Amino acid sequence: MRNYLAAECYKVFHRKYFYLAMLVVLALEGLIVWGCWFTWSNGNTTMDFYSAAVTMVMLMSIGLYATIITGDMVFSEQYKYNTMKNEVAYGVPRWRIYLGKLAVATLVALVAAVVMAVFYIGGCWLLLPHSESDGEALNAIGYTLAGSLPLWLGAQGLVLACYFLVRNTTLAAFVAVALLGVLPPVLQLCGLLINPVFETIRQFMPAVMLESLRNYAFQWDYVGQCWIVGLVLLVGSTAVGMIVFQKKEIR
Amino acid sequence: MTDTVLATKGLTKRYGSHLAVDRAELQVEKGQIYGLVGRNGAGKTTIIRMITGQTTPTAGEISLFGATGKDLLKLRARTGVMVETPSFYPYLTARQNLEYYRIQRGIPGKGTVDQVLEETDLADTGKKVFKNFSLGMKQRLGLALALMNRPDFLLLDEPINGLDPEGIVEFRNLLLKLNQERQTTILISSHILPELANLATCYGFIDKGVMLEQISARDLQEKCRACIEVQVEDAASAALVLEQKLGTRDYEVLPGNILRLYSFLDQPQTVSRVLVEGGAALLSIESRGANLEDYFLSMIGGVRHA
Repeated sequence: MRNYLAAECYKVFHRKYFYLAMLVVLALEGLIVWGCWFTWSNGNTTMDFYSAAVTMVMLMSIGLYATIITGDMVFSEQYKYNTMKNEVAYGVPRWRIYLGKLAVATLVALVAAVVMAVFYIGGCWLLLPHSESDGEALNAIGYTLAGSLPLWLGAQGLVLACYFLVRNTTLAAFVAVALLGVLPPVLQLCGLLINPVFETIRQFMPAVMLESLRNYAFQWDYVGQCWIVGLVLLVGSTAVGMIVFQKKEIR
Repeated sequence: MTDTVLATKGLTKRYGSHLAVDRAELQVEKGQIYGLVGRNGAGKTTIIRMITGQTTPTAGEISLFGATGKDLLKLRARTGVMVETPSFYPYLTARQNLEYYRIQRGIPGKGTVDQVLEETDLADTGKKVFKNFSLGMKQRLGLALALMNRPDFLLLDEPINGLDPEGIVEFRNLLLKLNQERQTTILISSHILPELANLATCYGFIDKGVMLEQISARDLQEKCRACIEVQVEDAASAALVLEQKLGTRDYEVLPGNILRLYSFLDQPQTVSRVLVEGGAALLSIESRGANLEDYFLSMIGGVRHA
């Protein structure tokens, strides 16, 4: 397994995809930080580290969809390029292929998340004025991250299952977006029109829970729920993905 | 310790109502170069895919180095495989692609990659990425990957597609060298039958998913030996005429009053005249002799492209 993980890391970090994606995201973050600094430097005294840092809490949902990119980075369109046969034919167990890619996708997502968070918070810290509320902002970010991490993890499992099970990468990404982002409003509609149970189910969708994290500020029970939902999604999607992949014909 | 590298029993693959491979029995012995011969869609690639674990057999058993079932997985690490078009990451160079697989397979020594690149004449591809390779270069990189782990058993599916004539000769020499120096067993499927005839020590013929015959190159040569085949009313008296009038015993008698004469090949008229003059009732006479292609075509029953 160690060799497999090392090889996947070699592949991810030897292509431009990771670096370009990071560059684009950091440029966008830089733009936000610069906007905050520009606002403050033009005399808006309400703009400080606290208000800029708390904005990050609003951006946690982006992490959910970013798993589609990290999943793609690691899966690397293996069905399109038919490279999976090189692994299977050498006798690499399919469970190792699956879990190895999941582990590296999670690792890449974590590395990217840490770099993005450090860049954003560090930029705000350096450029914006500080106040007594700085600690509150950091606590809010810490709380939201504690609830977001398991949901991102669950989303990463779901996204990777889509890549493994759907042969076309673009279609797999669409399926992932549909499950993560389109299903909640559909469930909401079903809750209104068919049965309220659909609305209850919607409340446990990762996208909805990420939005709700802000409304349940510092309620650690809710963070616990996020962990349960995230882990159930991760284990469930991985189990389904692995079972189907075991029998999948590799071209 | 078994000398059988690969054996399949009743190997079957069905896709819906289509029977791609029907109870195939293959046996590849250590040190052999086994040529798998069949037309497009005959089932060659499906058989290789089942051996490599890319697809699961509907029925039957595969034994690799004497192991079956779950033990197969570990033993696949002793094989080198090139199935259909070689596939690599298009945005990585030859060296990066091979290094990726070297790390993944736990093959020690960074020099291994340089060595196989050298062996396959790809050492000077530099920063050129795979997507910009010619078909011949892609084939050679596929072979480099198959050779990287110094396999005991090479499975090659149509490996000379895309190679130029010089590349084909180099490829043939490389396979012969591997077979002779490292005793690497090779299973090779190819459409290019004359090329296969230069390599194989054993053949398996497959058509419509059915293994028609397995035969050693020596036996095939014997079967394809040039001769004059005559059919007479009484084979015994005709044989006597041949011995007395032509002074040869280089013939064999087959069922159906058929005689195969392996001398006087350039004098069929003489043979015919002697038999008639000797009183043998001659029913038919023809010159025979076949190469691998003819043999295969006669086996599948007609002139079709292999």
